[in-house]
Amino acid sequence: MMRLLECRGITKTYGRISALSEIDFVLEPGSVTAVLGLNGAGKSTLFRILAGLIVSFSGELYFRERKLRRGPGDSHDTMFLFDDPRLFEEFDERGNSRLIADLNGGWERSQAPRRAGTSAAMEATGSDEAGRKRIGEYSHGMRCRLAFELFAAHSRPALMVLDEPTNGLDIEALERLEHDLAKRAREDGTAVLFSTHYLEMVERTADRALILRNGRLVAEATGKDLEASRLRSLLLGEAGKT
Amino acid sequence: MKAMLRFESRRLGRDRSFILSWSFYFILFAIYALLLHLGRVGSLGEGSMPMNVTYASYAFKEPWAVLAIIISVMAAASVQRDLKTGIIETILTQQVSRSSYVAGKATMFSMLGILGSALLGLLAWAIADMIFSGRPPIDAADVEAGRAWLFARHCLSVILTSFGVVPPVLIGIGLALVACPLVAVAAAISVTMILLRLYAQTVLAPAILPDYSFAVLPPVPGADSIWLAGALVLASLLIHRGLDLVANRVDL
Repeated sequence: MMRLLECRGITKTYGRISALSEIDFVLEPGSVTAVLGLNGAGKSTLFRILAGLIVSFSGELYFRERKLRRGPGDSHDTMFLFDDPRLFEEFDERGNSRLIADLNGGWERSQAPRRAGTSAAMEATGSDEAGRKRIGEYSHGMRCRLAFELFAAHSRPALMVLDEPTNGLDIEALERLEHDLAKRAREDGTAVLFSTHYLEMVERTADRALILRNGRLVAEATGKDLEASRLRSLLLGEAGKT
Repeated sequence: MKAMLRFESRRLGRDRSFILSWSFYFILFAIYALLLHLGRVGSLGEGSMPMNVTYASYAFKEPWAVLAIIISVMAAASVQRDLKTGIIETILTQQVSRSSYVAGKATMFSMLGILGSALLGLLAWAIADMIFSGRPPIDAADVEAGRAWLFARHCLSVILTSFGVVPPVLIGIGLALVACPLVAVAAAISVTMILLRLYAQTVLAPAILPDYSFAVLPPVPGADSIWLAGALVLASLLIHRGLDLVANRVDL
């Protein structure tokens, strides 16, 4: 099967401190991969490298089997969502939808995706009335949901990278997110890479988990190892690489 | 680039600090121009400003220099705000490369600078080259223009005519933007300035100023605007390339 994303020996240091060391993994289309690790393990650094926000690193990065100088964050078929997603706070949902459409070449594209994006976002976050509120007045959870819907609606991602997307989500939003990720991977062939501290979500959603500890990839879990209790053991270092 | 310009213009339209500082600047310019005018015609003291120098030559230069500084500060503040609020992460993880982001900002603020300059220039020219009067033209029964006396309404029509060139200029700039923003805008401004100068020199000014002197204008009409346009294009390209080089080597 085609390798959608491949990381070879990704290493990042801040002075003498090693944030990531020799990370190797491959993502295939339709796969759902979780990146797990305690705070400071290097998950966000890895995601920021993949997004192209961190450009000074060593190692090799391939996207669609093409070698890249930096992460494919600005590619038309990727979507990145960070744990505290920033939207345009002085605008309401429609305004944000238009701006995100502009950032994705909305002027050249038809109006349909823009309207669809706005509708999907407004459906996800509540009523029409809520849609008129400025984003600055939204709760963290609502902002996360809206950002996910908007970014997804205005791109057709083959690769979806989500850094702790479960932060601040209520149970309904969490279930919706799990459903969305599984559906996209299964029906659209989207490769999903996400980090989280909810091990039960990993058990239900992912088909592989990468365990990071102190910037190193120490374990890779599949199959039965994806049970929350086993993942917990791997995370806390009570088991070796499986 | 068009999408980035739309994006930036939408954001600027909601940016209160931008709107306030932009409005404040033009209000200050109007006060400055009024004071100069009053000083020139003798309402303030003896009228130290020379009457035989085009009003535009000194009512325009200093505000233009201030405008260039203000635009630079606004552009820098805009980038700084994007970095500080973290919104740059959202922008750069859509279909926007760092180069496009930098180019979008540079083009947007260059356009604002050019538009501001054009407005300043047109205002100054409208007052200076076309109404060379010794008292405010609107509220006087008749106005002394050089050695001739004109009805105030005649002067008003001249003013309106001169301001009438503003919409075509703005439309021209808008159309030029569709193609190649920086070069086209600079070229459009340059051509417009040349035409305006020729129009003012050969038609309007002689019509209302019998003793109008060509000596106060440059020997080649519009030569200064050609240099200005060329410098703008060169500066923009250099800034673009420079920022691009830096931007692609910095972790965010």
